[in-house]
Amino acid sequence: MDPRIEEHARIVVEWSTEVKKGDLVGIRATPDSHDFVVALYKKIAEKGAVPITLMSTEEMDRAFFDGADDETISIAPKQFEALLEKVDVVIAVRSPSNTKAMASVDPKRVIQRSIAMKRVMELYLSKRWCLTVHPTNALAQQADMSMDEYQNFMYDATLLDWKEESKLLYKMKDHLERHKDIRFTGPETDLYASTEGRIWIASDGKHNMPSGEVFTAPVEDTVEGKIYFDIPFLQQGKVIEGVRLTFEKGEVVNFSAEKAEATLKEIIEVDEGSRRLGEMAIGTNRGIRQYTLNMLFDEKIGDTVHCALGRAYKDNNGTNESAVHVDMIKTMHEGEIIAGDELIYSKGRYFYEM
Amino acid sequence: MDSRIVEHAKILVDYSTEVKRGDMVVIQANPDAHELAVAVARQVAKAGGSSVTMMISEEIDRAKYDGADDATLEVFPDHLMAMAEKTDVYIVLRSPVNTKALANVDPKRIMITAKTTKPIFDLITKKRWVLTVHPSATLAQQGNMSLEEYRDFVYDACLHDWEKESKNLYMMKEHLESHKDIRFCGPETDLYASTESRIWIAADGKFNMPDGEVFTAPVEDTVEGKIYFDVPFLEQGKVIEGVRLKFEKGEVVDFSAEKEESTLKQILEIDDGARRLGEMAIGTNRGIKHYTMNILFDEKLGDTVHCALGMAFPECNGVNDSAIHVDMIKRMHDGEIIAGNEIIYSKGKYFYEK
Repeated sequence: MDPRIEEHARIVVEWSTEVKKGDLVGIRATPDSHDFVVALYKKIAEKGAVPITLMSTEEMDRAFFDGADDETISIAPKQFEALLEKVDVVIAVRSPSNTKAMASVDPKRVIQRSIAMKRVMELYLSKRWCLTVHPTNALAQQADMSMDEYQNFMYDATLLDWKEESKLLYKMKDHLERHKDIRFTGPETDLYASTEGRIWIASDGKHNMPSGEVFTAPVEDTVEGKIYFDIPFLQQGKVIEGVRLTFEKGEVVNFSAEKAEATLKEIIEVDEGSRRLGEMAIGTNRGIRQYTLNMLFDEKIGDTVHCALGRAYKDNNGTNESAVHVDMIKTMHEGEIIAGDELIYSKGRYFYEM
Repeated sequence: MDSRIVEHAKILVDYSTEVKRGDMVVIQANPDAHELAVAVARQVAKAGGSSVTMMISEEIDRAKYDGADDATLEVFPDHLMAMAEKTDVYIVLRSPVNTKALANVDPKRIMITAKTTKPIFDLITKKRWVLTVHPSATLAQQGNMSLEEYRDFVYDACLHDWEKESKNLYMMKEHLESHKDIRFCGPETDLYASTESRIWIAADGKFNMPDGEVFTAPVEDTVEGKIYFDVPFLEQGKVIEGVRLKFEKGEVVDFSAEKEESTLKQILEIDDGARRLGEMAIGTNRGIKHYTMNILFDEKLGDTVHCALGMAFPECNGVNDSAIHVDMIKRMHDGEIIAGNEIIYSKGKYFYEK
C-alpha cells in the first residue's frame, strides 16, 4: 500500500477525530476508497475502537431517485438513524467514481430527500466528524490532472504537521479577535467589514482534511467596498470566473463576471440573504499548489482570502440566512489583510512570518 | 447495465425478501458488488423500502485483525446492533476481491470475533435475509473459468422462475414427510436413515440465491450403509476428492478419500458429532451446470444428493452437535432416492417429472 494512504489514515484517526479505546466509528466510503478504508480499519483497531463502513456512491443515490416515488423519498431511514445515534465518530470519505451521476435528477426531489435525511445530518454534525477525500480518477479528471499528479496534489495538501498548523491558525484567530473589523485590499479590491461580536474559527483539520483557514461571519450590514475574485469556481455545474462585486451597507449593488455572469446573477437573486456576505475567510494551506474547482481544497489555498454570498455559520455568531452559501476566492500575493490597526498579511507573508 | 443484474436484483428484492413500502433494508456488499448494489438499491426504492449499504471485504476484516488486540475484538459493536434492531431486511452481496485475505489470521481470533458478534448474527437471522453472489474475478478464478463464463454460470443458476421452483420443492417436501425414512442408492452406494419426526426443509431461494434443495437431519443413530461422494469439495483450504464412508448405528466406521484422506481424517476426529451425519439433502437446481468448489452453488446442483458430517440444523429437529458442518456431494444420474415405498428420484428424473 502507498505509505501516504497509511499516513492520511493516521492523521484522520489521531488528529482529526481523536479516536480512542471503546469508540464506535462510522465510516462513509465508496468502492474507490477501499484501500483507504483498509488503512483506517487498521489504525482504528490499534486505538481499540470498533468501525463499520457504509458504502455511499453517487450511482447508488441516483438509483434510489430512479426507483423511489415521492412517498418513498419522504421516508426517513430509521435503521441509519439508529446506527448514527450509537456512533461516537463519523469519517466521511469523498471518493466519487462519477461526480455527475446525479446531474439529471430533479433538484426538488433532492431537496425533498434532504428533509427526510434531516435527522441523519443532525446526528452527523453532533459527533466528532471529519470529511476527507481519497484520490479517484473522477476527481483527477475534474481537476485536469493525471491520477499520479492528483495523488501528489492531494497528499501535499493533507500530509502536514497539523499540530504546528493548528498553533499558527489559533495565533491568527487570537490576533483577528483583538480587533473589531477586517479589510482585504489589493488589485481592484478594497473590502471592509465590521466583525464586532463575531467569532473567528480556526479550521485546523478537525472537521475537514485537508484544512487551513480562519473564517468569520461579518456584521451583515457593514460590508463596504469592492473585491475582485480571480480564482474560478464551480456552481450549479457552471464555471464562474473573474467575479467583481461592489457592496454598500452590506448589500451587493454592482456585480460582473468574466464568465457565466448569468449564473452569478441567478445566485445573487436567490433570496435576500444571497446578496449579503455570510463568510469572510483567510486560506493558509500552502500545500495546496493550485485550484482544482473542488471547494474543499480551493478555499484553503495559502495566500488567498475568500468570501461567501449567503448563509452564515451560527458558530461565528453570524445571522445572515439564505438557501445558498457560495464561496469565491481571491489570490492575495499582491494584496494585504488588515484587522484594526494590525497588518495580518502583506507581501506574501502572514504576520507570524514577518 | 447487464440486464441480468437488474433481473437478479428483482429476484432478491421482490421474491427472496419481499420488500414492501416502509421496510428498512440493509444491503451488505463487497466493493466489487457495487453494480448489483446499485440495482438492488433501485429495486428496493421501487418497492418503497429505504436502504443503506454496508461495505465489507476480506481485506477490511484482515486490517481489523492486524490492528486490534484481543480486548478490542471483544468490544461489542453497539452501533451495528442498534441498526440491526431497526432493520427489516438484510441483503448480502458476496463478491470477494481476495478469498484468501484472512488465511494468516489465527482461527482463535476469528472465533473471538464470532462470539462477540453472535447476538447480532442471531438477530439478523431472525429477519428476512438473503445471501447471494455477484460475479467477481476471484470467484471466476476459483471456479476455473473466465469472468464472462462465470457470469453465465451464476445467472444460469439464479435467474429462474422461483415461484415455480418453489412449488416443486414443496411438493417434494410433502412427499418426503409422508414417509419415515430415506435411502440413497447407486454405484458403491446404499445409505439408509430414519427421518421419523424430522422436518424436510424446502430451500426455495428465500435465504440463499441460487437455491434449490430439500434437506433434513437424519435420526442420528439410524444411519446405516455406505456412500461414495464423487464431487470434489474444498475444506480447510484443501480439495478433498472421492470420499467413501461406511456407517453403522449412525457412526462412521470406515472411510477413505482418493485425495486428501488425511484432511478427511482430521475432520472426522474433531469431535463426537463430526463422525455422524447432521444433514441429508437432495439438490434440484439444474441451472447449475457443474461444480465450482463453492458450496453455495455445489450443494444445489440438480441430480445430486449431499450429506454433511457434523452439526444438524435445529429447524429440521436435528440434534447432532459439532463444531463443524462439512457437506459432501454425490451425482445421482445412475442412482435412486427412495423414501418409504416411494421412488423420489430415478433414472435422471424426480417423481414429479414422470
